[in-house]
Amino acid sequence: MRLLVILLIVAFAVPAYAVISAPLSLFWQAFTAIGMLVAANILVRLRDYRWALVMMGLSVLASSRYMWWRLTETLPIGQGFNAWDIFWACGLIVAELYAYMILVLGFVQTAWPLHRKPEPLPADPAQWPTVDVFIPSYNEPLQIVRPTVLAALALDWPQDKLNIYLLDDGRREEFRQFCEEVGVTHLTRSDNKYAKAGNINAALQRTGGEFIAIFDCDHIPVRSFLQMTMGTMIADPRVSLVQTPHHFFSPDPFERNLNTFRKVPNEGELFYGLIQDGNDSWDASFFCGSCAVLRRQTLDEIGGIATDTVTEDAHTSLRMHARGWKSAYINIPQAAGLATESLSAHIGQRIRWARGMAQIFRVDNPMTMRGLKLGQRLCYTNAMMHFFYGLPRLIFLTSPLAYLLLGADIIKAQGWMVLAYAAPHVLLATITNSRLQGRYRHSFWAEIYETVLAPFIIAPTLLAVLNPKLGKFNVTAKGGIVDRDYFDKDIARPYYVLFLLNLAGLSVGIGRLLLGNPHPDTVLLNLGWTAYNLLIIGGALAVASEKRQVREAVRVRTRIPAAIAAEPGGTAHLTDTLDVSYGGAALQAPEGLSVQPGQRLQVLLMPQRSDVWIDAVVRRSGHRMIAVEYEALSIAQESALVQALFGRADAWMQWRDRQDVDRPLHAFGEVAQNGLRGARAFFRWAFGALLHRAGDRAARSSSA
Amino acid sequence: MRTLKPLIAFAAAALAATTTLAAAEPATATATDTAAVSAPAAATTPVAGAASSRTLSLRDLGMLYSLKLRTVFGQASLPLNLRSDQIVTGANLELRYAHSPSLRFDLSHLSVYVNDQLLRTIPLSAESASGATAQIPIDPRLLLPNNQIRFELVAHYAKPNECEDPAHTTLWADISNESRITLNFASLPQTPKLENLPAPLFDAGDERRVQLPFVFAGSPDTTTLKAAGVVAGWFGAQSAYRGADFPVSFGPLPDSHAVLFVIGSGPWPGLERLGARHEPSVSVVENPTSPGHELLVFSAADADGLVTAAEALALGKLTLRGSEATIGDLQLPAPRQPWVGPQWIDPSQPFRLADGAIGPMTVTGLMPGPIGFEFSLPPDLYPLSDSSVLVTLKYRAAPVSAVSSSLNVLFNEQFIGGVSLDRQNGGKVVDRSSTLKLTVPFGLLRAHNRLDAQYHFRRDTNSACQDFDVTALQGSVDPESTVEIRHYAHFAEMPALEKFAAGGYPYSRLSDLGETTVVLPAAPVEEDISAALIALGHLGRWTRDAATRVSITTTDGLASIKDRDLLLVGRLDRLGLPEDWTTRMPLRLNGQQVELAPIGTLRVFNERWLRGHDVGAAREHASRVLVDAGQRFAAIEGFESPLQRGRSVVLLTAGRDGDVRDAALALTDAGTSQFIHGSLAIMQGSKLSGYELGVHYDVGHLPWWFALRRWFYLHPYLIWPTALLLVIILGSVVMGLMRRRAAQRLAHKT
Repeated sequence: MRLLVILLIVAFAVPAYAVISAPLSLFWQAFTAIGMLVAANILVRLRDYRWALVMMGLSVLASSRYMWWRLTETLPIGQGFNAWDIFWACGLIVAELYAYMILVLGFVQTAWPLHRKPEPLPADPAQWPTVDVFIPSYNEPLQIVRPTVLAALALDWPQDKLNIYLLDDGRREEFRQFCEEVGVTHLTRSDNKYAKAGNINAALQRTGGEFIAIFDCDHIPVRSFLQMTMGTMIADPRVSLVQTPHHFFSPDPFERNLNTFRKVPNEGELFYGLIQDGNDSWDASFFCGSCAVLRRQTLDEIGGIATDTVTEDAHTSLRMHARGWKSAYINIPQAAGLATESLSAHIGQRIRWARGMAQIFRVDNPMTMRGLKLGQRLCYTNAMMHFFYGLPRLIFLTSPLAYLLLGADIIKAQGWMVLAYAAPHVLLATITNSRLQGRYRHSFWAEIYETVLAPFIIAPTLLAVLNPKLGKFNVTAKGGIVDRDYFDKDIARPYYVLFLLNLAGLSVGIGRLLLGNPHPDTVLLNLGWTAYNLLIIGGALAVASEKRQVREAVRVRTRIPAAIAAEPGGTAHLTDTLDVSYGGAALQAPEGLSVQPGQRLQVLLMPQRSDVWIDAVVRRSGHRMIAVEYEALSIAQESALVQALFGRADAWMQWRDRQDVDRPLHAFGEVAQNGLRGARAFFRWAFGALLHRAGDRAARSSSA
Repeated sequence: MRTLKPLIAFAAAALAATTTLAAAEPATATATDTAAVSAPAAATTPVAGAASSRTLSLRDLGMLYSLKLRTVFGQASLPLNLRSDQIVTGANLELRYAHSPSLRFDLSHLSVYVNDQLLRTIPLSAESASGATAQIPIDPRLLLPNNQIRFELVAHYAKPNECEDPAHTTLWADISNESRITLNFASLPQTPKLENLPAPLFDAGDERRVQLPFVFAGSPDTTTLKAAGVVAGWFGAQSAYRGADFPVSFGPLPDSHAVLFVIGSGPWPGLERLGARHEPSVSVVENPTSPGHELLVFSAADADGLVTAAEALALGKLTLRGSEATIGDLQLPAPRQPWVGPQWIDPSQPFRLADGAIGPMTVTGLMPGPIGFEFSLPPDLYPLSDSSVLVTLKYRAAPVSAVSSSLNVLFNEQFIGGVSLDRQNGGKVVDRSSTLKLTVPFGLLRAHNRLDAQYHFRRDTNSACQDFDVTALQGSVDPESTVEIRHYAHFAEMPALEKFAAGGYPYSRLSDLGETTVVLPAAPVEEDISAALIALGHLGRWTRDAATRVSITTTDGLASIKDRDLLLVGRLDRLGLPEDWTTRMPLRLNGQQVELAPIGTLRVFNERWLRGHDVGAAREHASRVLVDAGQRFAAIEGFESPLQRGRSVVLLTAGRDGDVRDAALALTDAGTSQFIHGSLAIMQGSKLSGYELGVHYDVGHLPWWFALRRWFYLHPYLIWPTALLLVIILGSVVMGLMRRRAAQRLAHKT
């Protein structure tokens, strides 16, 4: 097998080398570029997955051809170029090499999403192993933790084999009482060393279940979680980890501020929808800290959760893989939580991930670590390299400025020639990725996601690579609910600096063109690039224009069977909910029941499974709809609500199906629209701030 | 001894002429030393003072353009070399000149020197400004075998003590290259002596093409021809850039120097004694039909002996003493390795430019001439990257030169780079060399290359009256400067007649012509043999080695030739080649008609769009020339050998009314050979045109990776289909592999 692969690589490499390195004139390169693009546009219409692999190959060839040409013919070395040119050119070429590497590794990683199905459990529940559920918490309010604990209690698993532990690093009395009340174990320790990792490791010492299911305290599992995951564990004793996706039922800052919730796949979906599934083919799916089951035997073998880095999850599974343990990924959302609420909190979280991955890259580099297979090395490397996008992204956003503003010749080539080489490189990558990732990431959106984060993750990642101990940054999370529309000018500062720079570049470039530049094609190329950058940065500015968050408890627009009784023990009218939240529900008004606002009644959610009636007060009625607000809930009632809201096995299954399919041009239109919107928001804020400042000054001078 | 006296007198006079100016007329000199010469008495009947005259223009002396004298003190010089078997009895310089009309004529004049002796100072005047002629007699006693004629201009436009810009544009005088030198000679009869070889048959002092008849007793066999070929190659090497013409005679002796091949006893009266020998021998004798001329005679009992004699001469194994040398046993040196020889740069190591310097490497003055270097590269040197040929020029320029002074570098007269000599850092000290690195474009490479470093000094004109000494402006090139050749292969896209015309490629690869066969018509005539000998002389010029392993055959023996490059000589209608040959020839005979090989439209398209050759236009032009010429033309054709792939044929040929010698002679004339290129050269009268006709083959080896890239470069329309095919295959294989892996994963096997 291995020999076959090597032979194949050699047989492919020789002609590929020739195709990549043959020098061509502009005419023939353009001919080749058009040929490749036509081929890709035909291939993308062929449904068999084989053609997706062919497109990956073609895309890699086109990009390799471009990179070969860039490296051998366009570096501004030699006479007529100064150190300044070389400096800029080095930056750009490093960024391009990085992008190329990520492209190729990404193809390897996602070449074959495994689509693993859950394994059936043994028929006899007596053979099912014992499971400990860990819910670590540090400073989250009890409000957030309650549903998670209640949902964990309702997991479908023999009660004698299921132990729930709330690992409270905050050592809060309120939590202890709650635990006692619902009957879960409240575990604390004397210090907070190693944060979450230390918390879990401490709990491992004091518990004994064969398997550990870990949920972040705001990730509410559905009842079937263990049914879905444990089968794989039992079927293969070498599997040490079964991971499921992290699903969010509230919009993250991107979705909220760009108004794309449930329309455009969010930032995390590519990872959980495709990459982890692709990793699974290479036995390289890794632990994401929550919504996963771990094997205690393995944890004991590697000395518990890794504590050397701030992304203990990925690091832990890397060590498991290095020991020869396997992992599995089941691509069915089996838990859901609230997305980060503000952009600053979101950025803070991503900084932690980026820093942690960079730390692992230094501490246990997957390319050199012993015990890994090649596929695992490549997948882990890509997962870590991905977080180094900060600098390359900034370089791409500023490179045309080196030419337009500073006059540096960063590419030693004619504008048309650059186009003839770069067009197949960029377009084939876009078309191919659209085909592969279309359901999980729309074209061009990555640019916005990365641009927003890039300025903030450069320093943490670079410092962590220099020294894993460095690079601890805190972005102050504003937290809580965004109660008004506002422009987060602190977060947005890097974006508007970039925006203004690019705007200056655009003006200077147009000026150059009008004044008659000897290389109009080069100027045009750079102008086009700058215009594109402006749209992307505009998108980032739009993200930084925080929108007001309505409401307190997130509403889940979902249809659940329900029953209404006008008084306790009275006639139950069957109906359906319109939407449900933690504080109330909207129900379809059943025939023959009339209610008035203020009237008290009882609601039973999912009557086929539950008999816990919830007391509620009617707030509005009419239009064949009744809106009720719950009264104070007992534990049993709250549990029933949690079950109905979050615990249904199929609660999150259909979410992905609702989204639009990617159409690159359409996606570009959306990105562009957001770019323009962001630009408008920025100008409105900028003029407002200027007027305000002028007003202040006027006021001060008049008072003086 | 009476007969000897005049001879000795002339010898002494020649000696005098080369050393002192004291000797008077040759006839008056007396000498009594008789011991020095022991020439066979029968061979010498010298005729004293056969007078001749020759007029040379400065163009003939190598001045392609007028000499330009500039600045307050402008100089120019040119060489004048004379044959050593002639003595100048009178000489005159007809000087044609023009100069600036804006000079102060009382302070301006033009001086002419021969060998640093002042001949004449011509005062400049308003009348002579627009052009004048001056007749200046030259004392023949001033003339040596190698002479230098120098012109000096002293010109001023300002009065003494007035401010003057020494480099002012008004300070000029031009000397036309139509100026003539008329020389009257008396020939200087000499005793035929081997020591003098190659003189007088070839004299380095003569800039003209060498003219040396080869004489055979009747039509020679191929072995005799090989001997002649070796000798022709040797003379070709001697004559170098002059070229050599070898007319052939089957019997009659010419009235000039000649080379004679004798087996047994020849038919020539007066030379019978040469036939008596059994051992191969080389001798020089007086030409019995033309006194004062010499015959170089190769004689042996059989043709193989002649080859031995010729090889001994060419290899320098002959004891050059007296008038005759015999050869006993001759050991040939080992076969040569490709491109090994003093004339080719060894590409494996950097070439020190100092080894190729053709003049001083330091120049002086405001407008100094170039610092020139010459070197030869194997014609099949094929650079594998854009920067394969790298010139590292280390130079030093005097710190007094002003802003915008520069050093420019020309490669084969094409500008390839330069550097401004501005000293931005304000340094006033030059104590080390600066370095200028240049890459030479592939297209500029020739077999013989010239690199010129040209200083352009500027004087600071802001302070006009500042004391300024032009001799302080100096520039030099360090001997450590190099030409480096990296990443190369020995490879050539053929047919490339330009590589044959300059470089003798592909035959010159082995300097003993170890893979060369000359093919003559079944019954060669004098012209055919002459053309073949001229061609071998041409090869000798490039190999500078003895052609000991060349083979010569006729078209009858074509079938038995294996693994050799062929040099085919003969008129189209007399060649009688088989059909598989004629189909390959770009120009061939179809019945009585001369026609160009037909070419497909696809190939025309290919040539047009991939190689940038307009084959259609070339064919059209060639057809027109052929129609104009009727059958009166000569031609050189290059094509791949039908006998073996990767082997070349060069055919020297002519139409029915043409002369094959013209084709061969075109190689020896710099004026025509520069136009030979591609696969066909047609010569009509003195006009020659080269054509690229779109049929190609490759000679040599490229590294596989480069060959692969080149193949795609030549078939660019196949790149994306190949890419697509590759990825389709790869996609299917990966599909299978990944499906298997997935199944194993899901079955919990991996």
